Amino acid sequence: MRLPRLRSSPLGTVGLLAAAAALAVTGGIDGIIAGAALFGVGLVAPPIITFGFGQAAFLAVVPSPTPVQLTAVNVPLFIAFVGTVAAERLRLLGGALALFAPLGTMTWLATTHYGPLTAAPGLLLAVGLGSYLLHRYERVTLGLAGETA
Amino acid sequence: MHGSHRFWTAVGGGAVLALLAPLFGRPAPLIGAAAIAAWLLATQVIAVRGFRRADRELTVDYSIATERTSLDTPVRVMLRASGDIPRGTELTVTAPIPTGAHGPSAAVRTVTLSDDNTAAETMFELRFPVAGRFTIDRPRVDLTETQGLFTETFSRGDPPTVTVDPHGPADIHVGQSGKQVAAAYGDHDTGQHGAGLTPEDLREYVADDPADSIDWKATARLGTPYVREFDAESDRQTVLVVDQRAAMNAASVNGSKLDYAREVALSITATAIRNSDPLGFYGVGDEGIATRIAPGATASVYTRIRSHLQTLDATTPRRTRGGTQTSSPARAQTLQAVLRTDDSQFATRLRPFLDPVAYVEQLADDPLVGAVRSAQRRVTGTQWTVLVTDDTEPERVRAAARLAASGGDPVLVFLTPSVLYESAELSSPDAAYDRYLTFEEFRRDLDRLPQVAAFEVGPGDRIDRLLAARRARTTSF
Repeated sequence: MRLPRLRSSPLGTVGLLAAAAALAVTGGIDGIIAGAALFGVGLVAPPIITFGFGQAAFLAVVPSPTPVQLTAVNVPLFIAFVGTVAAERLRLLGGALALFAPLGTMTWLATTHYGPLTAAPGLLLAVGLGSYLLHRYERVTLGLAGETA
Repeated sequence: MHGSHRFWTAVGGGAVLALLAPLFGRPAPLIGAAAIAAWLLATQVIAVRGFRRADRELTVDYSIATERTSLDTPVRVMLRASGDIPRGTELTVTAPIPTGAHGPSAAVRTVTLSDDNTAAETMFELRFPVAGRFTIDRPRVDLTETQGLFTETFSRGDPPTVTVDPHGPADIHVGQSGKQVAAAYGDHDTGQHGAGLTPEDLREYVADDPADSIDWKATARLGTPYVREFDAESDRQTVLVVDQRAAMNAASVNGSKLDYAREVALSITATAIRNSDPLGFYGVGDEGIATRIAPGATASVYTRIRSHLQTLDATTPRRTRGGTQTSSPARAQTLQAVLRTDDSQFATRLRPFLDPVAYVEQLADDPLVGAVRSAQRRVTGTQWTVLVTDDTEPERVRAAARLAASGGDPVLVFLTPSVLYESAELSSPDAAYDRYLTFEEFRRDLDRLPQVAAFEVGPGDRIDRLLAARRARTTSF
């Protein structure tokens, strides 16, 4: 099936610029270079690649970020990621941010209390379960529960 | 709900970030993974809501121009979809092509709905190269949400059915003495009162009436005992005996005797189905009973009988000679396949010896009478026998009809007069008319048998020409 085309939007570009600036502010000289690279990647690569590259660059230039630094880089990066030209963009952004706030906080708390080795599978498991429950709910309400998914 | 490749790419990205966190002992990549997870979950929630609303709003109308068609005749099909589709959701509805049918590419059979296009329709043609009854699958609905991460596929609309008949003659005459009869076979009231389901009448109670037949409500209302009578109902068991011997291959320009016999048999089958009557079928070949289907009123029995009729071919008599070696069935089938494509004189001479018909029961002496006898052996109670044959062996047809009617059961005989299927009629109308008279005498003779009604079946235009020639001869004298 042909999937809808995703293109960058002004909101996405603003998010990308803000993420690059946040990297520059938090990472000093290395951050400026990483921010420029992120902007360049963001112009040519798909959103998921840009997002991954931004995370890797942040990890490289700020090895031990504070929660404020983390939020300052991640939120604009997230806006750049989600802010593609598509219908329901603002609704999606609002929903994603509303989910990201508790999920990110819980992940942060889990990481600080139990360490990343426990928090990482916990996050994957919780998200996987939530996604599966939504999938089953959709199948049941559409009357497709007995059919092969 | 299915994830697209875009979904799995995002999942992969999130998983890599989640792995990086314990690998470097840092929490930051895990926050990135949480961001991707939040985006995926938010998209999924929007997708679920969108898909549900699209399903609620969607109306699919899938209709076929005719429920009955013939082989390779284009059938027009229309697919119409409408609905207020949620913004950003793309919905396509694709009409499937039934197995065995030919149709256009998927692009022609697909309509697309979106938030700015709430109704769409497409028309195309299907062709059926195989006879039978086709149930066309329901149209397939494909949904994609705005980010292209999730898709869903399901079927909606009613599945239309179409019955494809083999090519048959167009101008069929079924009648007696050259006159068309409107209906020889139809609904059948018993004309009797008694036990049944349909209330018929009320009458006063008389002695010897069973007490349980008293209508207590009517009795209370009228002050004296009343009995409710019901319309007695019975299922008429019909056995269809269709001659498919080599003689039935004789053909006029309009079709062979077997083509006309098939149409009559299909018509009787349709009537039996309409009345839910038990129906049995015997196909009579040159060597015996080629097909035997025990009477039944189930859909599978009707389908089998119709399917047999639609693919009915005339058999070929086997000519056994002294010292001839019989081949194994597999070897015979291989040779038959080879010879079928060979038009040489040698192949034509050889083909009859490899007749692929596997007889249910060999009846070398008189297959028609044998088939009727076999049908009678297997039936208890009243049955209608319908014989569809020709006039090449009048004595045997008469014997078969007499045997079928021997128990007092009604018999219908449909005869294909040979004279109507021969080209000689064109060159010598007088001789043809004389032969028709001979046939007519035979038909009347059959018709006079108790419980037997005999009809002629043939091309209507040839009957008309024969009778016109007769009128011209009469007026010229």
